[in-house]
Amino acid sequence: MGLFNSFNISASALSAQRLRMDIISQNIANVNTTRTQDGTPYRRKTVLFQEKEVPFSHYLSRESREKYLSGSGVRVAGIVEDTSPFKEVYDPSHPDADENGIVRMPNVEIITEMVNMISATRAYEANVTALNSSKSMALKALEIGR
Amino acid sequence: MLSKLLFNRSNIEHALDAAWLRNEVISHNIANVDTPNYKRKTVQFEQLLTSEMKSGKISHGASKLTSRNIRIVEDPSSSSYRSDGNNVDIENEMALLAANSIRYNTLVQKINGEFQKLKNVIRGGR
Amino acid sequence: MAIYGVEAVRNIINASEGVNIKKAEESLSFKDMIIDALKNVNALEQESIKITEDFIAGKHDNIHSVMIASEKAAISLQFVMEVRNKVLDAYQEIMRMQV
Repeated sequence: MGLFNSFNISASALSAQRLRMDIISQNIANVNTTRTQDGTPYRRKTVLFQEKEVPFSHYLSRESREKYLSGSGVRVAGIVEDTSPFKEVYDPSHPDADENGIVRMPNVEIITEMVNMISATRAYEANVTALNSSKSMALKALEIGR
Repeated sequence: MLSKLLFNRSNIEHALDAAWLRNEVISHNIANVDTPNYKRKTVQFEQLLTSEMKSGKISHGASKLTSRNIRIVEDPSSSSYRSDGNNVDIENEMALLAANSIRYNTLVQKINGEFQKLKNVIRGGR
Repeated sequence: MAIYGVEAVRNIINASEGVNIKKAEESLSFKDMIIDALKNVNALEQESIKITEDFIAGKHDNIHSVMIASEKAAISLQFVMEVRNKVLDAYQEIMRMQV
């Protein structure tokens, strides 16, 4: 669990955004994959974020009896596949073309993935800043009484 | 008797508690910047303190301030920028984080100063 | 029938008892003050220990609570030590007085 809740919150966000980057990288790498394990083209994957709820138990032990329900960061609820239809491209020379010459390509849009990548990077940097800020506050508190 | 004499500064301590909690809540908001349907939370302390002071329940320097003045409030407004139900504005959160950090540092300096004054008095200026 | 002479003596006895009681109270109250102060120091120290133990166990992560509690305990102990030093100095000075 750890001692410092604010660090845990930022750390959970960092790992969640990193996982999102991995999934985005996988989408981009498989933009032309027409054949997967089960024979269908590659389906685009996305991550599902969910707020992690943990009651702040340390406030229970103070004079007041109220619970300060706050969160403990973010977690990945799951990796889901995008159900939008495959792209259909006319290419009779392709080994995976069907009888009409149509090849079903993955439903990955490079532009969308690039935008998501920028968003994930920005969120990652923001969380790093939040973690540094928490650390500097904690170090400052250590100077009480010196 | 001794604590009341020397340490009538629990206002600063409660403000420190509030600032620390606010740091955690803002970190939580930043962590959930991409979570669908997440509504940002804030910590209300200063407004509650001001309203209680105005209504006369607390006088300056009194130590009757308790932790019940610190509250986590959810902001239900919906953002016009986002379509996934999330109303976290990352720039706003970063600015609040910086301001809160400075506020915390200020309070730490202040309480440090109070302790130094007491020690100086006890030593008799030597 | 009251005997006035006895009444007068009784008054004197009552008056002197009052003086004794007051003197005893005063010396008790100074002792009480010192004991009170030490009890306060002890209480602050106990609170500091409790908060530090909670911090170690991970029950809370308020660094400032730990630091402030330890600082309060240290300052109050220093205060009582200074008072004790002054009292001892005063006592020794009185003892040095040539009678």
